[in-house]
Amino acid sequence: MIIDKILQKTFGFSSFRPGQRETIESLLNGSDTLSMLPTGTGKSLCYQLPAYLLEGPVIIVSPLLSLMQDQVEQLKLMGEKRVIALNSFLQYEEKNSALARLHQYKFIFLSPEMLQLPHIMHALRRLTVALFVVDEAHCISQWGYDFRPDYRLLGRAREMLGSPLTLALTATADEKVRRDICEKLSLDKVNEWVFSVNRPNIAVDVQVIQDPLEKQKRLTELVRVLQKPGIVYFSGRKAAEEAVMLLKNRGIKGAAFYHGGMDAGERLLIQHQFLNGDLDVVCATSAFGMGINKENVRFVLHYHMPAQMEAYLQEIGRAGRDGQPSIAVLLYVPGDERLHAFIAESEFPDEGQIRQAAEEGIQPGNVLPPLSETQERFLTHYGKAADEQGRPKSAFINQVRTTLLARKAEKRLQMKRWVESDGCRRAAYMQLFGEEPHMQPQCCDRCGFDRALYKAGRQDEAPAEQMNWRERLNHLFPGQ
Amino acid sequence: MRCLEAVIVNMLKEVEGGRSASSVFHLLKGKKSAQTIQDAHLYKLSKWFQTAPFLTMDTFDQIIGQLLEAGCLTGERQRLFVTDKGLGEMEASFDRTGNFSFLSGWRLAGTAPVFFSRLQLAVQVVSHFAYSDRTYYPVTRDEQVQHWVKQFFKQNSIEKKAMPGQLRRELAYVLEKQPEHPDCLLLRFSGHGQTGRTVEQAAEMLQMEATEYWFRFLNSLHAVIGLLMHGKEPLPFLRQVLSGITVSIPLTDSARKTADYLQKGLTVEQIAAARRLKRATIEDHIVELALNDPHFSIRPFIDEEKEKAVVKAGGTSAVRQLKPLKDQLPDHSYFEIRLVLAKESR
Repeated sequence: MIIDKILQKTFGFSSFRPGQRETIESLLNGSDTLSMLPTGTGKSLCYQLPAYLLEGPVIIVSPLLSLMQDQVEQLKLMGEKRVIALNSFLQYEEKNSALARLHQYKFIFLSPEMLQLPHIMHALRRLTVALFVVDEAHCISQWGYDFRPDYRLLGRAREMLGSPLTLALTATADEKVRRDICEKLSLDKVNEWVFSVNRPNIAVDVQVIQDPLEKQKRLTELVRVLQKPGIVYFSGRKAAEEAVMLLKNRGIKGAAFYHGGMDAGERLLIQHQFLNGDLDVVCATSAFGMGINKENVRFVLHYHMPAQMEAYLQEIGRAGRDGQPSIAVLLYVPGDERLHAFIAESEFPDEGQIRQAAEEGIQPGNVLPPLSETQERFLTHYGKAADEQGRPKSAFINQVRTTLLARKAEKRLQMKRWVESDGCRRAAYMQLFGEEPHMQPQCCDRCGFDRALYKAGRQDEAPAEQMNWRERLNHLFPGQ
Repeated sequence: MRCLEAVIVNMLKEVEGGRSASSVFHLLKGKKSAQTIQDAHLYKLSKWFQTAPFLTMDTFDQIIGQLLEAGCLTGERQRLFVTDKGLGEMEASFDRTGNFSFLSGWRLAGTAPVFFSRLQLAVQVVSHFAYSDRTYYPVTRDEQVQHWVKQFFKQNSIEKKAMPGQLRRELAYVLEKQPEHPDCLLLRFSGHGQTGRTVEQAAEMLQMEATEYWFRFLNSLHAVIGLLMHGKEPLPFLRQVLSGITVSIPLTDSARKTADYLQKGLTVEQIAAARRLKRATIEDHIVELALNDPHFSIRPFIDEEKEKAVVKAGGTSAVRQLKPLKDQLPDHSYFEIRLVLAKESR
C-alpha cells in the first residue's frame, strides 16, 4: 500500500495507530470525514499524510496560536518547508508577502478569525484547496468542551472555498456534539470514525482529601514517589508557581512552572526542557500540553478538579503516549469546584459591560472595566449575530451568556458527580461518551490497581551541574 | 531590598520633588511619550529606559506600597521622598551588585532584545551543526528573527565548517571582556545537549535573587553590544549578528493603526469614521504605507490603467512636483498621484 510507504519514508513510523489508517483511507476515497481519536494518538498524521497524495494545499483551522506553532514546527522538523501559519501575530509586512506567495505552500494553518478577513479569504479562494481540516472540531458546538463562537462561522467559510474535501478532528465529542459538527460544517454525507475515549494504559486514581493543607503534603509525596516525568495541573497561575517553590524546598529540584502569564520565550524554554528530559515535573495551567509530543509522560496529576470531564480526559491523555503503564491522579478537596464557577463568570462580559457595548454604543475596546480578549470576541460575535437575526442586542447577548453559563455549571456538576461516585471511574467516563465499558486490570481506585507499578525505582538525584563557563562553551562548540 | 527596589529608589531620588512615581514606572517600561523621553534626559535616567519591560502597574504599585511601609520612602505617591533608611538600603544593594555601569537603555532597549534573540538562534544552529544534529525545535518563534538567521547563514562569508570554532572564540573573547559572570549570558543559550535556562532558573543556578540576575544579564548584554559597536577587535560573526537591526518598518503609530484597519477590510471612509480622523489624514497614512512597505498593494485605491497613466506622465522622472502632474491628469486625484509616486520611489 502506498500510504504505508509514505508513513515509513516521510514520517518514519512502521505502523499506524488506531484510527489513522481508517481516516486517511476515507479521505483518499474522497469522503468528508469526522474522526474522533483519543488524545495522544497522533491526530495530525491524519491530514499530514494525505497531503502528500492530494493535489493542492491543505488548510488547517486551529483554535490556538501555540497549537498552530507546535504543528508548524513539527512539520518543519520533518523537513517540510512549505508550511505557513497565518495569525494575527504575524507582522503586517510578513503577512502581505505570505499572502502573495500562498500557492507555494502545502500546509496553511489559520485561526478561525483569520478566515473571516476578506483579503485572506480572497487569497485563499484563488487556490484549489485539496483538504479543509477543522482541528479541535468540538469547538464548533455549544454543547462541546471549549466552545468558540468564531468556529460557528467555519461552515460559511468552507462554502466560500467551494466546499472542499473536509476532515473534522476531535478527541472529545459525544453523539450530540458530533451531530452539531456535521450540521455546522454542512457535511451531509460524512464518514464517521469514532474510537474509544478509553486509554487502557492509564490508571485512574481519585483521592478525596478533607483538609486543604493535607493536599500540599500529598502533592509532595506523590511527586516524590511516582515515576517521572510528569505534569501537575492547577487552576491558577499563582498556585502553580507556589507548588514549584514547595517542591523545590522539599528537595525536588527538577520542577518548573508554566503558565500563560509568562514571557513567550521563557515558556518555550520550559517546553523544550520538558521535551529534552531536563525536567522531572512541570506545574502548569491548562495552557501547557496541547501540541506537545512527549511520549514518556508517566503521570498527570490534577491539583484542582478540571472544569469538566472532557478537559480532564484531554489532560490525562498526555500521559503514556508510548503505551507504557502511566497514572492519572486527581486530588479533590470538597469545594474545589467553586473556583471554576468564578473562572467561568470571568470568561464572559458582565451585564454592565454588555449594556455599554450593546445599548450605549461604546466601542468594545473602550468598555470599562476593560474587556479580556475572550470577552471582547464574545461581545463582537453575538452583537453581530443579534443584528443579523434582528433581535434586541442587549437582551440577546445576556440570554446567550446565561445559557452558556448554565451549561458550564452543568458540566461542572457532571465532573463533581464523577469524582464523588463510587463506581468504576473508567466505566463512568466511557458511558458519558456512549461506550460500553469493559473490565481491565490496572483500572482505577474503585476497581483497584497495583500502585507499585507506577512508583519510581531507586531515587537517584541527578548530580548538580559542575561545568564552568569555558567547559560550557566548549561543549556548545566542540572542535578547534 | 531587592535589586529592582534599589533601582526604583535610585530613580525616585533623582526625580524627587519634580515628578511622580508613575514617571519612574514609565521610564522603566520605556513608554514612548514626549514626557517620558524628556524625563529620561532631564533627570539623567536614560540608562534605565525600558530596562524592566516585565513590570506591570500593579506590581509597581505594590513595590511602592511596601517601600512606604518599610519607611524607605515618605510622602504621597504624587510626591515621594527617599528617606535616609531608603538611601542606606539602596546603597547597600548597589554595593553588592555594582551599579550596572554598562546599561544603556535609551540607546539599546530596541536593539538588545533583537540582538539577543538572533544570537540565541544562531548559537543553537551552529551548535547543532557542530554535532551534525539536524533535529531540534528553534529557540524562538519570532518569524523575523528566524528569517534573518536563515539569510545570515545563506549569505555568510565565514566557511560553515569554521563557524563553531569562530563563534566559540568570539564568544569567549566578549565574555571575558564584559563585567558580569560569563554564565549570566551563557546559561541562556540552547544548543546540542543543553537547553537554555529561563531568567528564574539562571538566577537560581547563580544563587542570586531574580531581579539582580535580570539587571546583571542586561548589563552584560549591553556591554557586549557596546564592545561590538565601538571596539576595534575583529569579531566578524558577532558584528554581523548585530548589523542592520532596525526595529521593524518605520511607520508612525497612527499609520500602523490605519494599516490594521485596512487589514480588517475597512474602506478609507470607514476608517476615517472609526478613528474620527479626516479622510485626508487616512490618505496620508496610506501614502506612508506605500512608501515604506515593499509588499503594500496600492491596487485597492487606484486601478492599473490609472497607475500606468501616472507613470507615463512622468511619475518616474526625478521631478516630483505634484502640480504639473495633476495638470496633465485632470481625472486623477492628488491622492492617487501621490500613491503611485510613493510606490515608484520605494
